Amino acid sequence: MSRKSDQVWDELELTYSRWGLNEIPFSESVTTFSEAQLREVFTGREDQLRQVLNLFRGRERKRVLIYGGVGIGKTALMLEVLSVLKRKLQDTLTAYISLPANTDLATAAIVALARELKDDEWAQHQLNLMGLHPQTRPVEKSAMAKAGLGGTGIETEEKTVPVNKPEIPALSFEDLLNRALQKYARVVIAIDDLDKQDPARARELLRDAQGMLKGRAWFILTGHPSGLTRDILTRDLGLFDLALELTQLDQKTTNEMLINYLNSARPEHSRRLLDDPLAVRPFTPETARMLCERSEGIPRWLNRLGSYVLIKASELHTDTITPEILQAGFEYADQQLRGQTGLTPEDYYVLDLVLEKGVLSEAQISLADLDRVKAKEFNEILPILDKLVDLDLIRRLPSERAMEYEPSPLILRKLSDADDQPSE
Amino acid sequence: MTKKPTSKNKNYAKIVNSGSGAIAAHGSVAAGASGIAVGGNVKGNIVMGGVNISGSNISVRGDMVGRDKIYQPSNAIKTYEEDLSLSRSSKDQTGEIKALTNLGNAHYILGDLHRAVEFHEQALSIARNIGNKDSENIALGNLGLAYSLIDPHRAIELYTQRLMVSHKLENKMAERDALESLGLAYIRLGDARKAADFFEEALKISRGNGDRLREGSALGNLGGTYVELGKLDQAIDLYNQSLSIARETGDRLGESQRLSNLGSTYAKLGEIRKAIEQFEQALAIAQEVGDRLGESTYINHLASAYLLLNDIKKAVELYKEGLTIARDVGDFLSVSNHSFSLGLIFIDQGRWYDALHLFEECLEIRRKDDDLNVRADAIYQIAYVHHLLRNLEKARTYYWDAKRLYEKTDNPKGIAACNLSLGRLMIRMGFVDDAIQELTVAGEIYRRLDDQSRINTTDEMMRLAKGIKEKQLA
Repeated sequence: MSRKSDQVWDELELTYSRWGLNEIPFSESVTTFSEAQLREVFTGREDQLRQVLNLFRGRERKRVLIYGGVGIGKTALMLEVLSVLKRKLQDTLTAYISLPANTDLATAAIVALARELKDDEWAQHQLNLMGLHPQTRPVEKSAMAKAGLGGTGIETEEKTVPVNKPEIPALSFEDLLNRALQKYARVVIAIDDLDKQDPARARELLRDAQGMLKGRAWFILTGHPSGLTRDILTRDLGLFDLALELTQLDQKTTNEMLINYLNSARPEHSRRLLDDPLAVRPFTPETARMLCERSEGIPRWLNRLGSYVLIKASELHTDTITPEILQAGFEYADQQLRGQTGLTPEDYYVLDLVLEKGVLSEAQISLADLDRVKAKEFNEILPILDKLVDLDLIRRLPSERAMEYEPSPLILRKLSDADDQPSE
Repeated sequence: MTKKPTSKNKNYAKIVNSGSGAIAAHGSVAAGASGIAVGGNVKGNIVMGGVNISGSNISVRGDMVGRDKIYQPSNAIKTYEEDLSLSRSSKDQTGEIKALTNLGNAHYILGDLHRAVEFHEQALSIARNIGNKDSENIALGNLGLAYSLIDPHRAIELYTQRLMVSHKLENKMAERDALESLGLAYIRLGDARKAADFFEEALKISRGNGDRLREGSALGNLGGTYVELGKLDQAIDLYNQSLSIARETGDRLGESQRLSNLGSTYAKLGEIRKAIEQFEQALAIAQEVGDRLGESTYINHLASAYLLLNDIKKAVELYKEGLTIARDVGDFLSVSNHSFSLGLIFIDQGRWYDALHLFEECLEIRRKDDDLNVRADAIYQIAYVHHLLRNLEKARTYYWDAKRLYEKTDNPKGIAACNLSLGRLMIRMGFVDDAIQELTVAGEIYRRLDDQSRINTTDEMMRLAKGIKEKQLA
């Protein structure tokens, strides 16, 4: 049995080596990448990078909002900016956090900053009292007389310090920031995934954090794709100096991204230039183009599809991904996406409804439709729709006139009516 | 300010318009010892006065009922299911009817009316098969009650059948119950005149039997119909008669309910101080006898009365107190009412996020109820607060949801309010054609309803929308 397992491993090894790859380079989330890996695969967005980095040539602290649809690359851009700052500006402290559920922005900012201030006892206390793992154990040193001979007469005893949880996180953050600013000229806090919150909740969080956001730290946040929500944030609250919209990458850039990903998994000596037709191996230029087209310039879709297609191709022991193999890969992606863990029967009811309707709109949905998914309000199924968007099973259309959803291009539609007709 | 569409269902205490509205009729048409109130208040109907739902002698086991106790139907259901299984295996059809009836009642209390209907239908069918007229009579009453919130017309059919069966059996008590149920069903349909006829008949039977308790409750119900007919002085007279009987028979709960009914009627007459006096007396009795549900309800009425006196501070204090009690005793209907009323005040005070959280709590509760109209009211308010907060997308989604439910319940005021608000919202979002479409529908409905104030508002918005469109075209 063990011999058979080894054989399977060896076959896979052979397939990947024929493709010139060490591993599957694609990933659903860039947060799993090291800084070096991110540098290798980060593609495009030069204009946006220039706009953000240019702000750091100035003295006045700024707040940046990066917004766009799911999987468009907001986190990647945020992490790339932080990575550049870390390398180029020694006097700048950068901190990143994905906003945890049910957490206000000030608390998230404290956690992010405290994690970076590893030598700061007070910062570590803050983490400790939040039940988070501190970098150093919080202790208090108290003097006590040492009994016995030959000693110095005094030694210190360490004990854990009871610290109350900060009642006003914004003020605690300010204290922490002051401590950081004694060591660094600039502190940049990046809070990711604000766009994963309900838009109304995100606005409430931002409103509550206005004082902190207008303070002495730089902030980079991610936002919702709705231009309207963003307009209100920037205009009414005056919170952001720069609001950057990320849109779909063009075909050329998507192709470049594919090559960068593939190169990142190749041994140093076998990496290919962008204009080399073999750079897309095991894809052919044609199937690479088809993959990029199907990804619609959305980096996460390229990653998802790329990954599933390579897995399928390796199962089929193919040297080259032909259009047929690519199609098999797309079908495999469809099966895998529909079979993702964590999908409940209610999720499937809603998915079926979207697939059946083609476009599901808050304005057009009927009570009979809602009854089918055991709801009476569109609002009740919104969390499910968000979940399905996050799982790339459906996507939200960019209309601001009404909330509208359609099946994601990663999902193969059901057979058309024509296909269901008996043949003559 | 176009603050809210008023629901057709008046069982929920609410302020129609601060300063000018009336105190609502939560329990204002409630029967005293009969334990039957005008629909809507599912839990209230069951628990009041410790009398069974149908008003008949159904044996309901477990820890039911009495206003001072909280019935735990979910715990009882298991026992009833065991009873059902036992009686089925031993072919004991009378036991089966009893278990099915108890299961139906328990589901009714939990607000699962469709399940309640299923069980009562089964009980009715068995009773008819074995020719047990008494059980048939009871099942018809229970089934009618379960239907009263889903389909009042079907409820009336069932109550009428019950009336005939009772008459044939010469069961005067059941006949009177059927008459009262019919009266309540007609109130629900908005036909107070017809309701009054049935209550009068029920009153005659109670008087004939010398049943003072039920005479008092019939007088109370009749008072309620006179309130509906706008004959407030006559209603007060009937409530006073009913109050005297409650005092004479030592029916403390009935006494507090009638005082509360009197208070609501005085409030309708604009005699707010007098209304407050009645509510305070009702509250004192509720506190004395440990009737926590009543306490919460009367505090709510008091709060609404203080609001009419423009004593916002006192009203807020009272609503909060009522909310605490209602949460404490698990009286979700009152939690929903208190949070709704308090939410409206918070809107006026500009405490929009506080209002939003209250309306969200209210909606969570109303989602468990089958009354789509009151659910739509909560959804509409959430939409309105999001609108104020300029969470425009959220507001739009909630307005659509409210509109669909108002359409389902055929509530023109609600539909028009949603159209008007959507019109206003779509102007703000820059979709002028959509706005004009919504405002056109709103205008048509308000003209049909002859609501001049809202016609003016709609016309004003329409002028604005058309002005914007002209500029866009120019």
